[in-house]
Amino acid sequence: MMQLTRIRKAWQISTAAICYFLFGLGALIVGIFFRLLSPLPFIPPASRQRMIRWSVHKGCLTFIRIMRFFGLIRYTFDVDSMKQARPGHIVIANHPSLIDVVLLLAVNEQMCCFVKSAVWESIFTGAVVRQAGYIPNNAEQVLPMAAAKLEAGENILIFPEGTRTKEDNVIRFKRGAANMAVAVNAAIMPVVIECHPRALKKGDKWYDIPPGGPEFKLTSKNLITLEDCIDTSLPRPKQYRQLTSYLESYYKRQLIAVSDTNTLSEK
Amino acid sequence: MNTEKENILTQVRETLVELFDLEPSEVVPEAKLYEDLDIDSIDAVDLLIDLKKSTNVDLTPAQFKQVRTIQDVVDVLAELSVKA
Repeated sequence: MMQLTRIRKAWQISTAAICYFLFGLGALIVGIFFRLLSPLPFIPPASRQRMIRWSVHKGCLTFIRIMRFFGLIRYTFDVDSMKQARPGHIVIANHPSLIDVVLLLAVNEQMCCFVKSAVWESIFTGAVVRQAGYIPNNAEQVLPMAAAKLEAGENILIFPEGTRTKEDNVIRFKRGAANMAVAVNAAIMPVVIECHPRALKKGDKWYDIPPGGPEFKLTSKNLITLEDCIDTSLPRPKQYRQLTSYLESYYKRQLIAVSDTNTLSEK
Repeated sequence: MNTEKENILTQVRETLVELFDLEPSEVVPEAKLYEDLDIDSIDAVDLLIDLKKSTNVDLTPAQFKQVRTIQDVVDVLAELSVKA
């Protein structure tokens, strides 16, 4: 019995290693491919960016399929409202795990996101994230950059928690998403990410995956416009605060609702 | 603190209470903008615009860069209003 558990663990670690290795390799290849393509004058920058983002999307989709194939994760998507939403919106999501962004990119063909410096500087992912027109989150002008992209009709993903949800599962939002939304009066597309059991949290090892794999469920909700939830005639700092607490309690409600349904179905 | 600075402090306090939903008692000279009052760099931009309007002083972001506490805000405004 002990033996079997150990073999299963070894299998899991090796398959996870293969997945992450392929992820890095894929990112590197896409990055280099478009670098090599870049001297070609006949591809306009906008279509180039579309092509790169499309490749990222397909790459992420392939990655999660491989992970599912090895039994490392399971997932279901219910994201029609996001695909139909008018462009120029902010996609927000709670952030339970390491691969949330990969899951979201797998269901979004053209989406901008923020990139932390470790990914921006990495030899594997650096080239592709730069060419995809993503926003480095330590840049001085993060907000104006994001605002310009939203106004140009791009959708931008942000995790308002700023980091992965802690062990206690309590949702605490920072004001960044609200700052962006208020700056350009952008609508907000909320996506609820469920992850049972919790896995790949902050501080967890990448290979430390529960047996059978965590089950992810992504559900996109109705688009929220600012007029729906706050008084847009107030001074902006008040709007930032009201919108942040509105969204925070929105997510708390959503997550309580799904955990109640899960408890019921387990009974 | 002289009367002029007292007046500026009162004005700053009013602005902050209005913009950030703070209690007037929280806005004391030694309060730190970020740590104590939860005013971040984005808020600071809005604060700057508002202070410019209410005090009629020509504030620039550069002058606001070194500001950490309410006392610093008052000092910058006092200095600028003397020049003006």
